[in-house]
Amino acid sequence: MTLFLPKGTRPPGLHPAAPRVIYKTVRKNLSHESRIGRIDRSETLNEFHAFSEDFHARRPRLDPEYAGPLHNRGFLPDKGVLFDLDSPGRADQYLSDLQARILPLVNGTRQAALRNRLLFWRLHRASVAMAELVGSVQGGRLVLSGEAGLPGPFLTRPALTSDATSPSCHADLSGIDRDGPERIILRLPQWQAGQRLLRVAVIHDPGTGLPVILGATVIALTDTLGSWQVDGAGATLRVAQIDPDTGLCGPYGAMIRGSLSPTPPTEPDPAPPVANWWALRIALTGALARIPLLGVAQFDILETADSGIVLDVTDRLDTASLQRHGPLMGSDAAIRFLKEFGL
Amino acid sequence: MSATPTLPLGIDHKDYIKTLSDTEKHFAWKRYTDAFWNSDPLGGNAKAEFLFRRGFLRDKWVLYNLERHDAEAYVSDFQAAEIRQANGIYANVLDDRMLLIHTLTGYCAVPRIHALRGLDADEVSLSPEWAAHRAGRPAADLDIQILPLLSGLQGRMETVALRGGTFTGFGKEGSIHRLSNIVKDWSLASRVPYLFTDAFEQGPFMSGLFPGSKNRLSVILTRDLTSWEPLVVAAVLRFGSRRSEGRLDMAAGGMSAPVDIQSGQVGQLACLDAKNRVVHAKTHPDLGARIAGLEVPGWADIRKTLLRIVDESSYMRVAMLDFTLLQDGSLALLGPSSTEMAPYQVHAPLLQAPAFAEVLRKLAL
Amino acid sequence: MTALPAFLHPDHHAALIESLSDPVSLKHLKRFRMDFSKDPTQISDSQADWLFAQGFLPEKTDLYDFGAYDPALYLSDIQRWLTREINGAYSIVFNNKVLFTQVFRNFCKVAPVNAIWRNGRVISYDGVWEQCVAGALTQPRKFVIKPLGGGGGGNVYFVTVDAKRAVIESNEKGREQFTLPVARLGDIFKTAHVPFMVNEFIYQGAYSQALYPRTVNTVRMLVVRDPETLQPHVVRTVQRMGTASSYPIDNFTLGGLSAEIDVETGVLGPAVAAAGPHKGPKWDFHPNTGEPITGLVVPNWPDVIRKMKSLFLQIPYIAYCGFDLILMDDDVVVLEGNSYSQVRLFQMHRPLLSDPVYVKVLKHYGIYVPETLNGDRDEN
Repeated sequence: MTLFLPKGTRPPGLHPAAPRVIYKTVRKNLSHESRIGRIDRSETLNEFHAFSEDFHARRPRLDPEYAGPLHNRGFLPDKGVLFDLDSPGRADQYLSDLQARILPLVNGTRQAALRNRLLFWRLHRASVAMAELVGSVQGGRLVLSGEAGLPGPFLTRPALTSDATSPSCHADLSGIDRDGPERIILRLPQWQAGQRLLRVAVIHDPGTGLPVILGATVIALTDTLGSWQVDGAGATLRVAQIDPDTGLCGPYGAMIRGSLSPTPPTEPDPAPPVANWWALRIALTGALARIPLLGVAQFDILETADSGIVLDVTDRLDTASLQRHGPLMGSDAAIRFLKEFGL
Repeated sequence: MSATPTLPLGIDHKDYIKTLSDTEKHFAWKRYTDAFWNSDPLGGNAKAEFLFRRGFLRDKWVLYNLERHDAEAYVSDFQAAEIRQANGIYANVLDDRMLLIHTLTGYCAVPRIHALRGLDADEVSLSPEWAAHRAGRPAADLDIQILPLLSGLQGRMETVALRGGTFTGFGKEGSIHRLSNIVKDWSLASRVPYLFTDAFEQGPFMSGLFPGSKNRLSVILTRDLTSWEPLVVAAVLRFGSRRSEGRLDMAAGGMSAPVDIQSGQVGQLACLDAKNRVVHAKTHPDLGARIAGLEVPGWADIRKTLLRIVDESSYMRVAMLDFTLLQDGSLALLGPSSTEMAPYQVHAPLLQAPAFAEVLRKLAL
Repeated sequence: MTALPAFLHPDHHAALIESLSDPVSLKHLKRFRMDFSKDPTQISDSQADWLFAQGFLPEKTDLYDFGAYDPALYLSDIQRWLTREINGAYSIVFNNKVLFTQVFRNFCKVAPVNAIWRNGRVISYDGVWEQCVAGALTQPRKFVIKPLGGGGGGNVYFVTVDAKRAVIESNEKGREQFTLPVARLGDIFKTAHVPFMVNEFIYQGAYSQALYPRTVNTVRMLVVRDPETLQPHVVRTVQRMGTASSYPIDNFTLGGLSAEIDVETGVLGPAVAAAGPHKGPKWDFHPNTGEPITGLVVPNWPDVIRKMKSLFLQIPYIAYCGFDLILMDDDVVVLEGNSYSQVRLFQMHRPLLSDPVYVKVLKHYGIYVPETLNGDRDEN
């Protein structure tokens, strides 16, 4: 994991690190079971119960022999197969679904900006290279912030990250449905076959006070205009791991969201490296250092010929695609992060 | 005065505040801050910043003579208030007077419990005599102490005489039912149940210290947290003076005299004079009666009992208790002590005792 | 199926779960859901959904007779966890055996404490332990050594000591029976990680002894305080009996038996087991000894009830307790109290919520919710 500055130093002018501590004390024991045992505050208990209800509503039901260890470590049923969690001790290296629900709490009062895309875009478009926000759908109306008649394609997403409605792509603004909840409209600069989505998880490293890339993955987009099959249940993805130091990629491996079937084998050849990864990473972490520090955030970046452009920011990490090829929580920075925030 | 920047237990109250993360500790800090600004600097030129950083109330500048003594050897008021937390969930054994009486019944004399005035329910009679007084039947005369069930909370403490179903006390008299209604109002006002117990009559040794007050033998008990051996950390006799009008606290003119843990011999008393200067004396300033050099009667047995209480209450880490000695010299429980450390530390700082310092260190206090 | 009494709302279980919002209750719900996830009982999808929403563990489909009794009549598993909060800060009186003894010995007969083992040190209460180790006993004595903390688990040792040696029987795997010279009596604690308590062994009366002579057969009595009258109310009592599979104790979870004692008459009903070889049928006779169970009358039963009610009256800060009693020929020993008593041993005979006073207690502490969130109010 790359650090931008020697340990313990902090560039002048940066905001002091102040993400929230979630548990009363920092414990040495980082096993999922002991972490869940320590959950004792309303906000974290509510996340546990939302997770538990989701777990128990999933079908087909797992045999108790498998369900118990997964549920009581905070993993949804599909992760047993996807992460091969049968081996002893293996689960503790992986970020669980429950942890992914609880992690946003470290963002404290800054959660609000991360949970409302409209707000985030307005606050931070000067800091990060983000897709152009051309307007929104509000109360059955299309509200455009710039000139009409700009060329597409356009991507619409719910304004609130809590709304699980899938994004949709449109060739022009007239194709956007005016009904439904509030959505933002982003203009994509280009749309080419074989284009990829980079999903980058960033955490605050308590050792340096700087943002650090926890993990990154590249997702091959098979979409055509009008669909966006990345995050919906049952979506089939081709995912490859990005080495955050070099931008080189591992081989693609397929995964089906929520599936209990065996994970398809990994492809033999590595995926193409991310073009200009180094510049992209500096731009991203540099921009993040200028934003009042976040404890955790996930960026979806559309890979372009010369760099990349941010399509989405959320505080809920996608545990499945980010860990399709290996666990996220083994690194020193990740362990420091977990210890610091009692997660 | 020492200028050592680091404190022996690593407590810098002001830095500590910055690390607070849970509600309970925030309340502790709030309580301390309120108490700090309400505390009486006793006319001394108390250095507020110095004291606040170290968690002491403003009266301690004078009481501990911190101009000349090393503050770091003293248990601070903030630490003292946190000591009850050391017993974790068992803090309630010491906080709750009824539970404490039930727990210590096998070790020393305890006041008989006559009734409990609950918050949401009727009064519960717990002795046949009380029930008889209530029912208007003939019953033995009783001297009753009325006090909040939980220590450390604000509430009234009064003593009444109960004769033939009629009470007299705190400037009032009337039927036992009227008393019940008065106490119900106290109970609802302070949101705490009230307890009616026997009021002990102190024996000759205790009343000899000063007859005009209900005098106390206050002790701090703990254990070695490695070997689990019991320890008596400190014992003092607290008694009143003419100026204190029955009260025992030092600011009001109350006196404190240390008791040697091994021999039971009483040392020089300490009190504040009219100009709020700490005075040490061998005799009671009002009566001229000798204090220093007295021996607490039956001390060897008292000490044995105190150690047995800690030894057999294996769940307890630290206990601060008040006792009296009865007519026959036997040890009798008065209740949990306040966590005020001045009566002990006006003589010598408690952290000089390595065993106690070690206990506080292990308990992260 | 038996009709639901008028004071019970048919959907109260789901209403309770919906109503839980404070961290303490949500923590109990967490515990329930974690237990639910690992419960090995095979159930269908629809059963799983129903049990999860009502707060029952899957094992209850095996143990409770949901066919004969409306499930609304049973205390659910989440309700049972919530009963833990009824005694509030006073639960410590039950959860710590030392404190239990210090308090209860003032009001009733308890098992005398001889010593505590803690932090590698024996704290002697009465000098008997030293006598044992020094080989100074003139007559053999028997002790029970068990972990100090409550909540079950841990090993229990029955130790018979004479002037030379100690014979130890336990439920510790690999150390079921062993002998030590008295000087090395402390070796019992060699593998211990938690504090232990040494109690004098209580010899049960002839009635209890006859039930199954190889174990101490205790009575579990559930007593609550009526929140309106403040009077004690005995909800249910069962007689526990050891079996060959639960030996050397009468533990119900380990295969012991439970027979309901009629609170009014002291007459025993048939016995059941929750685990082990005797699970399933109702036993009118002890499966190992053939001794009769059904129809037996507990001697001095009104006296036992009176003593327990009197005890409850003298300790006003307790509101809910499952007492374990050893019945002697002429007295009762209160062995321990459980502030959130297991209820399977009661409800395997019949459900608890048929008792209106018990329901009143639960309602008082927010453990029975007579109103669903959509305002469907129970008018009774």
